[in-house]
Amino acid sequence: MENVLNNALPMTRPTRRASLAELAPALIVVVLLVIGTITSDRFMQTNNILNILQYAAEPSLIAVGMMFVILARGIDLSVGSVMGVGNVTAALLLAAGYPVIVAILAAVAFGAVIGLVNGLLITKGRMEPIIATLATMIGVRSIIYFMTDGAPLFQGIPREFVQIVRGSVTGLPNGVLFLVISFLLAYVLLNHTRYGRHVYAVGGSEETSELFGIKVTRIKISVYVLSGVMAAIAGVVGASRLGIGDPNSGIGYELVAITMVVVGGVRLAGGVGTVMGALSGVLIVSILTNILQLNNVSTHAQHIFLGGAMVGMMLFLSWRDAKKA
Amino acid sequence: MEGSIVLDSHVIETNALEIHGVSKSFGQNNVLQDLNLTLRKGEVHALMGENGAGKSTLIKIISGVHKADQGEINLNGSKVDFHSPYEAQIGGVATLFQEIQEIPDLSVAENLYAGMEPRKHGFLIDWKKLYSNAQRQIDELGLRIDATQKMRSLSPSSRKMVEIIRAVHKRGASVVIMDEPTANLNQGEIDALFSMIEELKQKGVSIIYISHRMREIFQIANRVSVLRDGRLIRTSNIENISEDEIVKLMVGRDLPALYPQRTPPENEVAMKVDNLTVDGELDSVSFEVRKREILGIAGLEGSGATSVIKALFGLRPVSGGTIEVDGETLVIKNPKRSIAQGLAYVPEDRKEDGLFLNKTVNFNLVANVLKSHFARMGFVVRKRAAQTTSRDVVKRLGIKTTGGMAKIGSLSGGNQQKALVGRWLIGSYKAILLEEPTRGVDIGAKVDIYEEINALARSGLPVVMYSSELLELIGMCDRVVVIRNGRVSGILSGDELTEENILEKAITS
Repeated sequence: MENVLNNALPMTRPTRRASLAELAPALIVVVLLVIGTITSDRFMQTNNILNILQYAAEPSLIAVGMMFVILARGIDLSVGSVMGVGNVTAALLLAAGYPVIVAILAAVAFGAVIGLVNGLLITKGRMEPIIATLATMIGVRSIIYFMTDGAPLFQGIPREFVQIVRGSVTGLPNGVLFLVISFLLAYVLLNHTRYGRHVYAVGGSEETSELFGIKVTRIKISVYVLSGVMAAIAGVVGASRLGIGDPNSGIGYELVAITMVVVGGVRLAGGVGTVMGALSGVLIVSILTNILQLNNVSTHAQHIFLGGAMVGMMLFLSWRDAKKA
Repeated sequence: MEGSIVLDSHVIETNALEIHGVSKSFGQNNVLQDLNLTLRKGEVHALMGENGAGKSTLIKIISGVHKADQGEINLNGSKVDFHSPYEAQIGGVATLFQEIQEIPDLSVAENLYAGMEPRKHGFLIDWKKLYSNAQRQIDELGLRIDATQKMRSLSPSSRKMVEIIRAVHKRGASVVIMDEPTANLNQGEIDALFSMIEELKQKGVSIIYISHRMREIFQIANRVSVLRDGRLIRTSNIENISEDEIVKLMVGRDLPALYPQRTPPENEVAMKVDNLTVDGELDSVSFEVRKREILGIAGLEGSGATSVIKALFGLRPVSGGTIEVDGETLVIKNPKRSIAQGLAYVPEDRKEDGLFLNKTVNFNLVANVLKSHFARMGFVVRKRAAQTTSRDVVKRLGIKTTGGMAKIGSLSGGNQQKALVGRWLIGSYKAILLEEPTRGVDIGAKVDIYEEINALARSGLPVVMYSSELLELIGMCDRVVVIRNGRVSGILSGDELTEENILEKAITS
């Protein structure tokens, strides 16, 4: 019996090396670092590097949440508005004299609630993710304008709150620390917990996940809550960094975050993508933007390069998929 | 003392699964009618029947995908009512559907242990233990699969084996349903599967086994049940029945007189298909169609029969072979090109591929000929002319509609199907390709559609038609090409054209 089997079955060999597709985003980061160094003397200066990371903090917090959503085969367009809500909620409460911790928790809770609404609309309401989160994106921005009368809040934000992001505990600016911590947590969650693996499973096949006994609805709702929480935190970080509450905070960030995640090789159809990839995506977008700024490329033209990077990555991935199939 | 003996024998004689009076209908279609079936402990019970006999529906009811309209199911003596395959699995019924249930981008080990991953420190997955446990389980069965690999990178057969290990060994099922489990397996793998089944039997696990392969049935089944038109026709011990008897029981009907009088085809060959090959689906399929001939394509699910017409029309990547119509070699690239070269095509799924459901009857009837027939300077549509033509077709086919401007989606299935066939009456074509031309329509509409197909053939055209209803092929076709494993296994005509013969050629023996 044993012999028959050994002859009949093709031996599958372990190939645990990272594939080219997995490495591609990291390679692009390296290439961009080289290009940056060549094109500008200022690029490799410590200040500039820290600058890149600090500006990357807000979109990358959102990108971490977005990554979970996309892995579970969803999309969250509301994150920009949720970031705005986090921003003004914190600022308003601080201006009204509430303690810093209360302001932050309230902002995060607001984000979680919007995430929960998204999750319920998509699971219980059976709406397409893109439609449900587009609706909350629009609605939530309107709530922000009601809360603030559309005007930025300049006053009453305490110094200790501003220090949260601008200050430094470890020698690195705290904003950079947030970026590092959130990616570390995402890495542990996605690679070393059942929850994370089940996010991949749901994104791979809802039907099979159901059969495996995975609580698909719960997982789907949870990724939107997580995304809402991360976006609200990004809003709080923004308020802290600038020391103001800005009703226009977060506009356009949903697209930046999606670009980062997708350029990092996370498959929009769900189930495939690594934290390393997403981090590389964040770095690609941030470094590319920085290089363009250092070389005095106008803001208008910058987006062409970002769009180009996205198209390039997509073409690469679809070429790779076609080759596999 | 005596009491306990009675109790023991009672326990032994309890059936693993009892199905009592189960009925199920979808709309007006009665798929299962008052069906009874018992599955004994530790037996392999083969379920046989033609496509549409109700096998799939039955297993879907047992496994909780569908809910029965009537009847009850007892598992190990107690009534059960599963609402999902997962519930069924927890309850002890594991089902291996034809499609592999897997998460392709996760590892083999994760697919085996999904939801039950071993953990350390409370919440972190113990990857080492996960991989070694999974690997041990695979090794014990003598399979050569690496547990750390992604499912996607395995061969179809290895993937099937992983699924079987998960469903059967990990979940401890007492009843296992296998729907065509050997479809993608080679002989060595089939042997491995059968020894696995043998082991399960020893453990008292009962198996419902669905396969079209007669030889397998006689190799591993203890009993066989034949289904036809949603009813149980007969259950028999495998020793007391022959292959021929099973086929007869599967067929067992008379040919109703709903088919038109056919005129014999001419001798002149109108269409010639030579060595048509689609990688993984069709292998060197060759046949000829004469003028006025209706040629049928038959084959079981997964045989490749459904790919023949799709390949001819340019819907499958053809990797080899030639197609000639009226002596000209066609360039098969895409449907648009095929239409331009004179092929007409009625797709299997009219809602997905055939009709613009929210457009009008008129639009649907002339959509494919708008440019060639009703356009000036290439794009301005001569609306009036198009309407008149479409009105003619509606009249000729007896399509019941409130008018040409009615949305086609509002018509009944039969009338939609008539429109689908009727659109090819407008314009001139060189060959007609049909897939399941009467699927889901009532008898009346069938007769109309048969008449229309007959008229197309009589006008001198070659017609190629695929249908899963054998009676329809026998009633309509001059000859039938039977496909098995992607190859032509026989071409039947005249008196040879019987259901028994087609099935015999279609079933791998």
